[in-house]
Formats: sequence, structure tokens, C-alpha cells
Amino acid sequence: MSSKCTPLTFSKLSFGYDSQRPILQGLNGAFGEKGIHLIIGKNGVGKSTMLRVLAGLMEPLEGVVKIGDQPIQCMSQVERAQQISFVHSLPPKTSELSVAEVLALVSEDEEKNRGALRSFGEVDWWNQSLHTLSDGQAQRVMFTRVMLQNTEWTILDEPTAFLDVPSKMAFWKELGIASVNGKGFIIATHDYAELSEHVNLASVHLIDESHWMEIDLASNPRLWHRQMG
Amino acid sequence: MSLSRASLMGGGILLTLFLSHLIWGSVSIPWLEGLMGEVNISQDHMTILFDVRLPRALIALSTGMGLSCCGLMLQTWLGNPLAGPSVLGVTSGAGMGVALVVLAGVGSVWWGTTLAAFVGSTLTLAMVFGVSHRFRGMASLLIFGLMLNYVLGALITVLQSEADPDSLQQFVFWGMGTFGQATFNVSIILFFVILVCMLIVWKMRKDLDIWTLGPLTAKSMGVNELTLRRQVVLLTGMMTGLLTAICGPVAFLGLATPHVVKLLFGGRSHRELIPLTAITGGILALLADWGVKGVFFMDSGWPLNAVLSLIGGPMVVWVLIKNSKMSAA
Repeated sequence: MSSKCTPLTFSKLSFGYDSQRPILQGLNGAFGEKGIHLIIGKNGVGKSTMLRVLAGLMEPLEGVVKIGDQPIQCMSQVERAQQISFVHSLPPKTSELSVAEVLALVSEDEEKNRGALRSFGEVDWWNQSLHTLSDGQAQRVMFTRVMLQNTEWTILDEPTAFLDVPSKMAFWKELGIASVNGKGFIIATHDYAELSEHVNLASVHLIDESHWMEIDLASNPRLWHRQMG
Repeated sequence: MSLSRASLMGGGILLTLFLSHLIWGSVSIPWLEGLMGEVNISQDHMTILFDVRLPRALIALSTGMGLSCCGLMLQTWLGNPLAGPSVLGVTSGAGMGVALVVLAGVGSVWWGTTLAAFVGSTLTLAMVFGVSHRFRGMASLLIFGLMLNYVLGALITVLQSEADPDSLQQFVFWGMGTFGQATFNVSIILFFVILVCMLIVWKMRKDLDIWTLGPLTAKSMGVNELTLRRQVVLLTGMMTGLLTAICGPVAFLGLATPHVVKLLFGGRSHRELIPLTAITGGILALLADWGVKGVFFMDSGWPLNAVLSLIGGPMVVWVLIKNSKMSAA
């Protein structure tokens, strides 16, 4: 496996729901290395919208997102799903599929699927339907799903909101292992202060009404929120 | 129960019911004595078999399979257990098409009404899907469908008030719903068209499974939203339109069958749901047609939509109670 990631870059990016009033505009940036990249910012500044644009799930109003030199808007859905995957902050609790069936959608090797699910914590609900699980359990199924989808880049929107403490620890540990193996993660989270003590971060970016700026990792994480203005 | 056992059992029941419709009817045909060579099966009896009973059983089977698959697709696509072709106004859209052709007297050849019904149902469904993202929650979209039903119903009433008595009678009769109005050729064509549509639905099974995880997750897993939506609209419009043109607006089958399947077999992935829904839909339609023919109550039967509503109404209430229990838990 390569130790370098294909960089994910964006230029002149504007996004939002109304072309007259974009949430943010003219953003340029790059995630150049493998590892865990955090995006932090206040509620409602547009973190979720930006992540959806970066994941190719929403068209930007202007600008382009590229993996390597390939714009993701030009890829087919299937091609994109092989390069970039996404985990929503709310786990899908509507599905009646069993855990086994959900994971079989991305990988047919049941032993491997069970092992992957177990790495996020012990399970005795393998054959249970997704809508009978707790939010935290369902979210662990989604983590396992993206790991099995095995894309170079994974985008996660406040992924740990519903997790108990042991599941959170297991989650960050798995992300750490995967990032050593050449995967890149872009994560919106509010847990940055606690996180920066346990996890090696590749970068932290702050987003607010008018800015997209990189934060110095050497500075004190407990003060990062001050920079949110 | 495993998928193969359930399909085998369901298939057996389906075949038995299908044959029962061929064997028994208002005219008793001496099959057994015929087979023993004691009497001759007359030409009239063969006419009854091939021009009355076989088309009717085939139409019932096609309608049961087709509408139930439409219901399953709509419920999956909208993530809404109460969706179905008759709930969302698709059936009324088809009815509008038929009303325009029959009542406006443009002509009443079967392919004319069929085409009009197809156009009507597809347009209605495209409209429902077009506005579906504006509604939050399950109730609003269903109420939109209900309103669409009212508006289309009102337009049809206006057309009826302007129509001449003959075409009015034809239209009212069509509106009660029946499996018994098709010729041999039409029933064979319809049966194969529905089979082909269902094969296409079968090919979509993985995308439909992924779609249950929600639009964002599904797209990130490689499902093309636009393609899937077009397939659902066209297939549902096609099947509902064709079937409605020939049988009239058939109530509840599409809505209720997927729930019967989930209750009986606990099927969850579309690999199980599609075949089981088709089989169960066929069984329900053929059973309902026995109610229409009147074996259960000895004398003459009831209109198809009355029978189906008597089964389907309580069914929907049951789904509502089950779902509210689930969300309360």
C-alpha cells in the first residue's frame, strides 16, 4: 500500500443552497497527505455543506474539487464511490436490512466483514435489523461499511456524536491504523480538544463566516475555539 | 424461513390458486368425467377456458405481481411504509388518462386507453417525485398524494358530467375494477410485459437495498440517484398505467402486499422481497378474485375494489399501529 495519498484539492469553491447567497465562496485548499484532517467551526457555519461538496454528494455553486488531477464532478457515481466515501452524522435507522446484509453490499467476504465490525467493538447483533439498533450501534455499522468500501479518502460529518466512550476510543484507534496504511480522513468534529491529546492529526482547519484557515497544530487546542471568533 | 423454501411454498399456493380459477367457475365443466372419457368436453367449454377463465386468471396474477412490486419500489424509494400507487395518486393519474379517452370519446380501443393511462400515471408520479424533496416527514407527502387524488377525482367528475350516457356507463363499470374484461391476446401480452418489468426491478435489487440507507449514504456508495429515480418512475408508471387501463383503479394491493411479506417471511433485502412480494401479490389478487366471483358467500360476488378495500383498510391501520409502536420504543 502506498504511504502517500493522492491529494484532495479544491479551488475557487463556492457552495450553499442559493446561488445569490453562497454560504462560503472562493475557497482554495488542499489535503495533501494521508492521515486525519479535522475541520472545526461553530454550528451552522457550513461544515456539513462543505463536506457534502467535498464528497461529491452536492454540486458546488462554483469551483472544482479534485482527487489527484481528476475533478470529482466528472466521475461517475461508481468511480467516485471507489475513491471517496462518506459517513453522515445521523446513522441510517430507517433501513430494515440486517447488519450482515448492509455490509454484504460493499464486501461479500462474511468473515472479513465480521472482523471489520468487531474492530469497532464487540457485537452480538450481527443478524439484527438496522432499525432495531441504537444510534451508536448503527453508526459503528456505518464505520465498518466505509472501511470495507476501502477508499483512499473518507469524509465523516460529526461521526462520534452518538458513541459511548469505549466506541469512541475504538473509532479513533481504527482511524489511526488506517491512516498509517495510507488512508486520508476529513472529519468535522467538536471533540478536537480531547482528540488532539490521543490522536495524531495531519491538519486542523477552521471555518467561519468568511474564513478557511489552517490552525497551527503546535498551539494549544483548548484555545482553538477562541479563533472561531 | 429460507428464501427458497418460502418461494417454493408460495409458488405452490400460487399455482394451485391459478389452476383453481381455471377449473371452477359459474359454469361447471365436467373435467374429471372428460378426462375419464365418460363425456366429451365441448367446444363451448374450451371457449370458456381460453377466452374467459385463462385471461381473467392471467390478468389477476399480473395485477397482483405488478402492483405489489410497484408498492415495494415506492415504499423503498420514499422510505415510507404507507406509499403505494393508489395512495400517491398514480392510479388516479392513470384514471384521468382513461377518462379523457373514454369520456371525451376520442375512441376506446384498448391500446388507446392503455397508452393514455401510462402517460397519466407516469406524469403523476413524476410530479409526486418532483415535489417529494420539498416535504419533510412521511405525512406531508401522503397528504399531497391524497390531495392529488381529490383534484384528479374532481376533474374526472367534471368530465363525467359532460359525457354521453354510453361512455359514462363504460367508465363507471371500469371504475369498479375487474380482472374479467380482457381478451386472451391482451392478457398474454400484459402478462409478459409485467414479467419483463419485474425482471428489470430484480436487476435493480442491490441499488434498492443501498437506497434504504438514505440518499446521502446511498450516493456515497455509488448509487446514481437520477438513474434510479427514472427507473422507479418509468417502471411504476408503466406497470400501474397498463394494469389500471385494463382492470380499473385497483385499490390497496400495492400498499398492502409488501407488509404481508415482511410480516410472514421477515424478508428484508430486495433479493428476498422482490420475488416474495410478486408471489404474495399474485396470491392475494387470485384470492380476492374468488371473493369477486362469490365462492365465499355462495351467491354472486362483490366488486373487486370492495373486496380489496375490506382486506386492505384494516391492513393499513395495522401498519400504522405497528410503526407508531416502533417509533415509541
